[in-house]
Amino acid sequence: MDQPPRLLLVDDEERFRQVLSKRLERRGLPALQAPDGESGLALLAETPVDVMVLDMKMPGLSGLDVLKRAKEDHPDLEVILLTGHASTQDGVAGIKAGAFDYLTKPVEIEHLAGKIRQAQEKILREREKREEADFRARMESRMIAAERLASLGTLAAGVAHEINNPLAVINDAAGWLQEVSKQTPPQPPLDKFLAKGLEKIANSVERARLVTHQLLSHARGSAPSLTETDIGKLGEEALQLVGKQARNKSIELRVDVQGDGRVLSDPNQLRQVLINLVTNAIHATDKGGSIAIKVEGKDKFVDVSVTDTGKGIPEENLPHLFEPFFSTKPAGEGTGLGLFVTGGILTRLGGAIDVSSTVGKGTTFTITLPRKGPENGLCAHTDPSTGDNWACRLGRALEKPTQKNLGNDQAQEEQS
Amino acid sequence: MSQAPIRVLLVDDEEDFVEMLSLRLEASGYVVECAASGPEGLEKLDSFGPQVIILDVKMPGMDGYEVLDEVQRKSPGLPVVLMTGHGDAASGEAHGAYATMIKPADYLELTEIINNAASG
Repeated sequence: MDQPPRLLLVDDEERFRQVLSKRLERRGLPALQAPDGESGLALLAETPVDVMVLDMKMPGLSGLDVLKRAKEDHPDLEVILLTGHASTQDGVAGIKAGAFDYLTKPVEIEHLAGKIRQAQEKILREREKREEADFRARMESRMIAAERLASLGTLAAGVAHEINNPLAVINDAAGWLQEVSKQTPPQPPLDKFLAKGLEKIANSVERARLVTHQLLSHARGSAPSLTETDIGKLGEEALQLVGKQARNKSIELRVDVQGDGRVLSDPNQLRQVLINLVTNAIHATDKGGSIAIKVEGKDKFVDVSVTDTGKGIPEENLPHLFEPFFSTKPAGEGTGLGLFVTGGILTRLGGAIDVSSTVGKGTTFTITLPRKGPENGLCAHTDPSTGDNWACRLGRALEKPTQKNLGNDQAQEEQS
Repeated sequence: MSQAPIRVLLVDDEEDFVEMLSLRLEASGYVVECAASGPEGLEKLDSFGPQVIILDVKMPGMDGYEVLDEVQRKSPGLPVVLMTGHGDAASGEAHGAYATMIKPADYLELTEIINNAASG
């Protein structure tokens, strides 16, 4: 309670008001002043006030009316009433209307100052209570969302498995017919029809296969096989693998390593993550743009960011980026699973991912990885059945509710 | 395939899958024998003499891992490719499988694995 409460003094007796105000100010409680109810309410409307000291008996609007109207518009405001001698009834009516307390004139200044401080304490207590309730509600809704995501992933993987068997049959049937019609070509025009139809079947199987295999790899997720991994090198490898796509669009690629970029992690899974992010970046970036992988070694963590100069992600899409099947690419061009899989891999590796984006300027995805393996990661409590710790990850993100991140708060603490 | 055709044993309880893959492999020049269960596959191990086995993981009764153990006991070194619709086949290599693939497998990849396994 370093800050004094913002105080408003409403009393029609000029001299009394001035004297009271001076005395309060000497006790570290400066107050705004109003000579009547109307101007008091007008002041309240334009200036934030915590505590109002209000005379009950005024010409025009009575203190009780002012109290009722003030509480209506400013429910957090605390009001201390000043009543005339032997007007206990007024005071009681005031308490019923929501006043904090009432004092009888003539006012004992220490008493009033004490009441003002008590009122301020109450305000702070209420505010804390409300913030905590807000926080809890937000946390709960995020947890529910996270659980729903996890169970959706499990369900989708189960479905994927049931679809893989018929897909395999379709795939091999089409492949067999292709092979047979190569060896014994049917008569025209049937040969053309057959070739076209079989090609479509094979392509469609490939498209569906991509989805089911990604879902399975997310849900089951092979246990990470940990080894010392140089992220700078991985970045170079990832860029080499996607280099052709980038050259086709004249996109400049570069890797920048600061500090020690070595971590205990799974290089194969991390390479997959980097390829996913860079591929997305290439898709989002126009001809002549650039994509940079930046590796930043810190004490216990290593940050890896992938920054593009692409079209950016609209703010309303940011919360959905890591959900399965969320895609803004045209049908058939993206499975909507790339970032879902990426998120799953990173949580299994004890890391986290964060995104910031400006439409028209570009996007940065930042990965944070624990230097000494998942055990020392951002969240040690991982569901062993799914390898998922979304809920925990989001929970951590909420510890700094003002930040729009998905869980790398710990790394930021380290930074600061 | 200029040399003698590679002999492949296909063990899977999914009838349509076995039928289509065997037709496709045969069309590509392989000699294929099919079995609808683990015990049937193990019987054909002796009578057919495969160079490579393609083995489903999830089968009623004897599952793929049990069949794999038995194959390794009876014919050590005979390459087995585990094939499953689940994602759990990743652990196949730990059980001594030559390779693991998730259905639907890429055919070129599959035939490459078969060829390498048979020549190894």
